[in-house]
Amino acid sequence: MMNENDYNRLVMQHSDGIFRFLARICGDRAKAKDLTQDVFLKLWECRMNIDDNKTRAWLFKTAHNAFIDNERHNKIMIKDNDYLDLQCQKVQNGYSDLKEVLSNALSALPEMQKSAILLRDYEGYSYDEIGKILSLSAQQVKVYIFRARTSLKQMIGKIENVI
Amino acid sequence: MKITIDNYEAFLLDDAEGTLSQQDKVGLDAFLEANPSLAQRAELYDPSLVLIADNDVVYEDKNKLLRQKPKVIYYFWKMTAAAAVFVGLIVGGYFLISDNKTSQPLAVTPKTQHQNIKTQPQSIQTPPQTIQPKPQIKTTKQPTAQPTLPIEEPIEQNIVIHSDNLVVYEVDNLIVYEVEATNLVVYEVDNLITYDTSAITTFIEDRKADWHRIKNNLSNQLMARVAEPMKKLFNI
Repeated sequence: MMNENDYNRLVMQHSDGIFRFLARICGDRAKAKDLTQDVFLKLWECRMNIDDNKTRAWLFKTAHNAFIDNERHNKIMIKDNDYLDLQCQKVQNGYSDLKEVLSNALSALPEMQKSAILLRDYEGYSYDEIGKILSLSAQQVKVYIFRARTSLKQMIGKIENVI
Repeated sequence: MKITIDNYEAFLLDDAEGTLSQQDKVGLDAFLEANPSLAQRAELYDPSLVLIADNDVVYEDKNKLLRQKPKVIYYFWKMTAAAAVFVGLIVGGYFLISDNKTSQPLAVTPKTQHQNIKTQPQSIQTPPQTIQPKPQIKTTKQPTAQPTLPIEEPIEQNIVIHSDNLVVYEVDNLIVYEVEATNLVVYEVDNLITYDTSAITTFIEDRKADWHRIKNNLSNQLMARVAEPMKKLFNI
């Protein structure tokens, strides 16, 4: 069973990763900060029911769900194509900073694509693990990641690595 | 698994990453040949496009998330223990002082005449400290024995207070209020109070008779509590 020390160790190990993940999918650091706090609060509340070996995956799953709930609450769900059209337009209007271009292109992706590609690239999860976190099959995860990468490429052009 | 328009991108991804089986590769090629518009999409996929985490982005409020509950409990435990000791000393000191005050007899004067008691039963509520002692001596049936009764007899160790209308006896924890005007006797033991309205005239004067009468009238529960002080009071 998780005690205070275990919990504190998890905070030190994973709070940065959870915050980065949320900041990317939210595109808003203040909101990501609040959601990170919610995630770890929930971790403490549910500490009796969490398998020690699956804590990291549980944290990302909870973070993703927290983001989805927050989005639904704020009623800012926009159709995938609307996102793409809007962001493509922004990119075409010109951004000089590559980081800013990527940030805007990423924020233009649908939520599931965004979460899937971030978990893959940022956290190095396998497709199966991402499927468990996002409640999808591995096949669906691959489809989402394929679509995410092709969409990003469309928006930012051909580059080798993007920071 | 059959390749369809809904899952062909998963096969394209596996193909780009080199993890597609030979059998699936044949199936994918056949699918793209049948759907040339989808084949163009495969060319858009760039496996080298990888997002790299910005490690400069960190959660700065980690300390606010950390739990330090045990220290908090220990802190409050010490404070609570200190408060309990303090309150205990105050209460203990109060009772010590109270005991010293109440252990001093208010008066030890035997009563001689019941006929002089006249006041109303309300005066029962009056604390013994407020009762004015009356310089009268309570006697037994034999008036000649009166001078020898106090001090040495068991009753002389008890507190006997009387005013015009009330006589109060105290033996150990038992207090007996005798209100002759209303023919009422009140027994109080350990905050338990009971009333005996039977004839009072024989009280004390015929101790054994009184003892048996009271024993018959009082409940067993009360008797269990008053038996010993009663025996002392009645000199049985």
